[in-house]
Amino acid sequence: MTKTISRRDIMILGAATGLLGLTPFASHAASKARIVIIGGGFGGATAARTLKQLLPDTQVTLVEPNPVFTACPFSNLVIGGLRDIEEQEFGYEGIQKLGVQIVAQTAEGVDPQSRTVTLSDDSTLAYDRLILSPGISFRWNALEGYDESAPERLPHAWKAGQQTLLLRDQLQAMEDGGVVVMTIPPAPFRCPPGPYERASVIANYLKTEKPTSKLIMLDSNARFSKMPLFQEAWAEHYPDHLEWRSPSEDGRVSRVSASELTAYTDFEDIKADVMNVIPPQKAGTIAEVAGVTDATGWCPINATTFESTLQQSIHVIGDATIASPMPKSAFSANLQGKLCAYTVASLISDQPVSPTTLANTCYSFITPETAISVVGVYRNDDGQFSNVDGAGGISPLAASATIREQEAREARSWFKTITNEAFG
Amino acid sequence: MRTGSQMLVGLAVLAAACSNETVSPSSSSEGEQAKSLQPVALDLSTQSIAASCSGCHSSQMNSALPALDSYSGTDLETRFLAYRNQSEGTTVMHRIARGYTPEQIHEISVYLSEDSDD
Repeated sequence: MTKTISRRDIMILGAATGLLGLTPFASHAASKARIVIIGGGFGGATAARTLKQLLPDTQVTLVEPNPVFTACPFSNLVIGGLRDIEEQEFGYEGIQKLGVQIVAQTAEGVDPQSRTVTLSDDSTLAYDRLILSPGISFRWNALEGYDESAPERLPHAWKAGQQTLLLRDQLQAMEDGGVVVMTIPPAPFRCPPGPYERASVIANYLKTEKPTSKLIMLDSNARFSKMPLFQEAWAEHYPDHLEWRSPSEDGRVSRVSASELTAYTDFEDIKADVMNVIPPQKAGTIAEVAGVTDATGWCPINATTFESTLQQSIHVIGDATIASPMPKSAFSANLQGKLCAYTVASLISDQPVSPTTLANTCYSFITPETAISVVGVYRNDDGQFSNVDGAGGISPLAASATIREQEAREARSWFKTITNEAFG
Repeated sequence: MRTGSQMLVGLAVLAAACSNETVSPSSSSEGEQAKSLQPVALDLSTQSIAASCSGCHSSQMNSALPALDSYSGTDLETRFLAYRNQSEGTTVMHRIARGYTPEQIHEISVYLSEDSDD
């Protein structure tokens, strides 16, 4: 050892724990604690892995009914015929091998008083700390005509899997000359740049395979993530294949009809050959059941500890949270999963939690080989998220293809890293 | 270091790492692990501030995103600071680095290079 041991070195003495570089620690209280995590997406899977590596002697249980997770990031490329769905699929074997108990049930109830979770087989799990990573659910009928049966005809493809394939297959089955309609709900929703990346990828597909077809985006938002970059890309690559309508251009959809394949705005009935309805959203169902949602349908949290401001000993991470200016992204969920794991490990060991600096990076493809990015840097002091002034922002406008291609390569590497971080 | 010292006061816990070897903060100047049951500072603040890095960077060498544990702490810090200080820079790392103080950059760089020793 050539360097002298600094105070920081102390924390890495002991066992090295692999890629995450975490130091296991334990106290009497921590080893007896029961930690339950509901939801095995980017947030919950990361939290489970991180906690088990940090607290090897503590019982960590992950409740997730699906044996395979299908990732949303990069699923737009599947829709555009550029990627196989198998590349989006991840199992829980890696997490299980670490010693996390996987319970393949749906969590149906949470009792914050008795600190128990009720599962779909009527069994219960007791917890000392509960982490909810419930993702999103859809507000059925909030957009008139979009009920539980509508996605069979009008796919949302906003939870990846069968819906992703359905939208892809509908696009592939469409005759050339067809009209594709995409409706975008008012923010907030999962993956703020997601609709616009999807539009780019669909327009690319139409331009390449169905050149007399067109995509019409009906948007409830006047402004959106990476807006100048997307608009620049659309003008350059898809002037004949993509039309974006803002609310002031009659873009706000008030009703859809699955049987008529029609979107209704204030002034127009727009008949589609394929319609992708991105529905209005709220936190995943279990969040409301647990009493951690407010009137917005999302979950207010203490940004320093990720603990619900509505229920003690329940932490919430990922898309379900009110974390603005942090976006509802896989990167955010993964980072929040790590930080929430540190928080829970500290709290059950009777240690304080300090605020920190957080970053988010989201890449979006604009063509099959080029991408753009947005970055944010945040603080979580005093229970609130805030932007760090002078940092963050989007890729440069009018950049060379070389820069856009480099960001596409970075995006592909990012996907490998983030899925490995979450699922091992 | 602001956050580090806060955590050293706050996060003194009995460590029971797999090696069963722990050191007390007072033994740190000795430069070697000392077998002891003294409280150990567990500095999760450094892990927290470095947690964003592993959202993109892994140990894979064939990545478009460099493996940070292949750099020395000094090298990492120099590069990270350069991103921070190039006011015309537009890459993702330029945009990220501007959000961190030189002290934070030092802390992260030393921590990630320490990891590479494991």
